[in-house]
Amino acid sequence: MSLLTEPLAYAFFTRALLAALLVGATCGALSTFVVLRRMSYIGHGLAHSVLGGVAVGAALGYGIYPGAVVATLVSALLIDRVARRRGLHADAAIGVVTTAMFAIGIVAVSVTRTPGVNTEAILFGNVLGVTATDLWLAVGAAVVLAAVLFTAYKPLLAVTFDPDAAATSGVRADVIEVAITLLTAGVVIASVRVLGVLLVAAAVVIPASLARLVTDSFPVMLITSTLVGLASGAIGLYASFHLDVPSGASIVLAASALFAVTLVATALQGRGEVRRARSAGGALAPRAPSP
Amino acid sequence: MLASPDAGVSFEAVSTGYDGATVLRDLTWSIPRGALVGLVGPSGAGKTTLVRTLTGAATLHAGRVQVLGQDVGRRGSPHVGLVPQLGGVDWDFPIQVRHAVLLGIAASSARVPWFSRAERRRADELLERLGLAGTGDRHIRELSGGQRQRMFLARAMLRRCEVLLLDEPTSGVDLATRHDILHLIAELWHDGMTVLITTHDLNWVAAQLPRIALLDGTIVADGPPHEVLTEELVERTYGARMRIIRDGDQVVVTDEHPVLGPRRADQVAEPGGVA
Repeated sequence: MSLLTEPLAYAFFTRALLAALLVGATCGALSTFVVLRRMSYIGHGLAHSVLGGVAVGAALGYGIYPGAVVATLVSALLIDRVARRRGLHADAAIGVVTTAMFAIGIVAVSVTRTPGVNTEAILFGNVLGVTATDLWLAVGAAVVLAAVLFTAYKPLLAVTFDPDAAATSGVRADVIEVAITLLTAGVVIASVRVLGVLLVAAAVVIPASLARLVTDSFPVMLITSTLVGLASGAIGLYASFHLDVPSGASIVLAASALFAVTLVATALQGRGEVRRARSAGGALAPRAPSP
Repeated sequence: MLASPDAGVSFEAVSTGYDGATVLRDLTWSIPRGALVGLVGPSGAGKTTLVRTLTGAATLHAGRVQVLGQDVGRRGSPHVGLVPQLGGVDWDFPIQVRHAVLLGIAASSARVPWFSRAERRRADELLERLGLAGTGDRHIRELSGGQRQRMFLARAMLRRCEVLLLDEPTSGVDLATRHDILHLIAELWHDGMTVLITTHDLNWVAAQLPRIALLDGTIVADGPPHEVLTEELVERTYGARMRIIRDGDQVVVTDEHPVLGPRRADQVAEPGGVA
């Protein structure tokens, strides 16, 4: 029990735990749309683009967030524009735009060697570095995402299922698509302190991938993804504290472990069903040998 | 030029396509209200783009598109319902039949994450009318090809559309399903709905539909099948010479020189005679 209560004596841990829970839940909820729209790569790309903004923003004396916001928004909008060009798919657009932004970050870090920019913390997350500002940013991202999900659930689902049909039904599919990208950008920025640039991508893919294994219902998938994100955030942050490893890595490992267990469990369940059907002499029963 | 008040759908000097590419050029065409029209043309002729122009999904580069006298903008038209190509749908998407139908009113329904009891009841009534009673809670992948078409018809009808677009409804479905779909379309048409069907199947259109339009980047011809399906117009549309066989008002389009038929017959007639 002390494993759970002991870290709570530290103010920095409580702050980080709240941030991790919020970040886990928002990434989890958002991952449903990212995975179903087959844009898993976008979280990866947007997170990489953050580094360029952080490095340039810090070098110019604006701190990490203004640069991160500008870099991510510019990347998100550029990806949207490039992906609309015929013959270019979203993965290519993401690859071009965000790796260029990441390269800008590497160059800026190398050239300026800005004091106050902890490159390792930005890349892998740092539980000790979570400030009140980071926590409020996570609260803001969670509130905005919850409000959008509540008021625009139906258009979001319609566009995720079938953008053309959604447009026919009067949904502004183009606006919703941009909104999903901007929400992803916002959640990525809010998650960078806890998860790190290189690991936030996993947090917007794994929860929904797990949820998809256990349900055929969209609302159940959305709730399951959010809960998986919450659980990964809590388990990972405690692991980070006790094992003294970067918080981003431990949260992603917690989510990966949950995914692996679910994958094995669902596979075993599937085998069990086949075995039961065969023993009952159903359609899956082995054929009798020919005479 | 203003569209006729009787026009269900009208295109005036329309150029449309996607960013960086124009697919339909200078297209002027109108479909009377209450008409049932089959749109045929070769691959790449712009059939799906024409449908996407009416739904607002394709970019209008020039001209004017109207449905029931109202301009179609980027939000499409409130009067249009779409039955998409089945091949383009993610049938593993986590959604049940009733919910997929209800998405037809995603824009007009209340801004809460659930549909009202009245909305769900109406969706169930439409499913029942279209022969899908009891399927509301099933996953969409559990439906057969014909049932999937009917599910999308229910989605279009839920929003009380007056113009129905069916994109390749005969593609990848068996003969019985085609027959089934045609009956449903005929029923909706007799109820006064304007229906536009895109298809590759010239002979199905010629045999079943009262009106046909040939498309190849723009409308080449439009009218009853026996008037439109001439060797000259078909060649101009498809870039290939075809043979037109007529029997009264019935028209059959076939290859001018069958390539495989006679030779296969020879091979069958001479045992072991493989060339």
